[in-house]
Amino acid sequence: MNSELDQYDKLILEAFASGLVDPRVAADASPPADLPPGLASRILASASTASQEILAERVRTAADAIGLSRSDLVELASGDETGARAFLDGRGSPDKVHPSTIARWFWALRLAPSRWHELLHQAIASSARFAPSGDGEVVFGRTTGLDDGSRAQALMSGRTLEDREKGRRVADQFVQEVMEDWETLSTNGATS
Amino acid sequence: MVDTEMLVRISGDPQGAMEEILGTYGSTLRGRLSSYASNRRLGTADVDDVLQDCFMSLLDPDVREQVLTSGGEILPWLSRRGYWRLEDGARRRVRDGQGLPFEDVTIPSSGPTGPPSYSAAIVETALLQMSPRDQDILRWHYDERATIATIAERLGMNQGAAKKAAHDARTRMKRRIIELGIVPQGAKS
Repeated sequence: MNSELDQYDKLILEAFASGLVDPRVAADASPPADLPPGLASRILASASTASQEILAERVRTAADAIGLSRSDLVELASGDETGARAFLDGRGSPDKVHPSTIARWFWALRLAPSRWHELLHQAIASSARFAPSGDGEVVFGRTTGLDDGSRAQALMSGRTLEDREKGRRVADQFVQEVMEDWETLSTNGATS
Repeated sequence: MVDTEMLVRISGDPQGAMEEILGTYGSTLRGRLSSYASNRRLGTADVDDVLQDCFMSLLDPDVREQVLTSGGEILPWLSRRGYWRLEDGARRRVRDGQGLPFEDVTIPSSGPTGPPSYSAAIVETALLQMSPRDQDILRWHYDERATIATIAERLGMNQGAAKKAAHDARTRMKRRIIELGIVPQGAKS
């Protein structure tokens, strides 16, 4: 063993022997603290676009890794540039880009479906918007004194279960189209 | 709904799943983070930002995979991430010259090991600034004196990979201790 590491090992062992307390244990036993007004709404609002931002970042990172620029990706989106630019910049949903463009990106970037399938589905499901059902306003933050289950229910948004199911179906359809195009590209070994 | 079901639900209904997770664990996590920041004297200004970061991290499928691999319990995983992020924020403030991680201890820029309680405080700070996984590995190794076989089992990997993970964690810990100004007697910096 490296003798330098031994000296540090000794230092760390002595520190533990002196009684290092794990502060995480005490924190885990702490009582709950209600979220301040507006924080839950802000978190959920950020969540509505976070999936597309994560996916865009994954695409940009994969492009960097093989030397493709943002311009190269936009060029691959021939005829679809506006939506492509917005998505790549993290400003737009992938469902504003044609499935064949997205499939072409994933193929060109050598991204296996395991790296994009779930995230793409999530991003489309997040962005699907339907008319409110008219069940009334959502009130966030008024959860003081509620148990965990009741608190969860109180925070549920005005999107109905039906809306969410529609969003899931839209996402299923879109991802299926991308997958079919990707499989065609992979099988044919197309370059454009 | 159990935690694993909520995590799986995110890909199909991210909004609904996030609402449920936030509603179920939001206040509990906030209490934990506030308490940790207060006890560690890190300041509580970052707590709500860290809280948001913790929940938002679940939207990354890679993160969800880590949670599922580590047992699938959301609150413990988010708590560990939150504590680490609070320490990381404090560390960046020190690096940026905005203040020390704790109020009443002066960190020398160089020199021999100080009295045991001081060096223990440095080791504690260095440890808490490591990633949650590194912290676990280091506690298992140094506090419990766990074998590589035990560490491998807990991490869900083979012994070769666990040995490397332990070595890498120890190397990072050493580097962090040096950054905090401690060079043990007889060791090169």
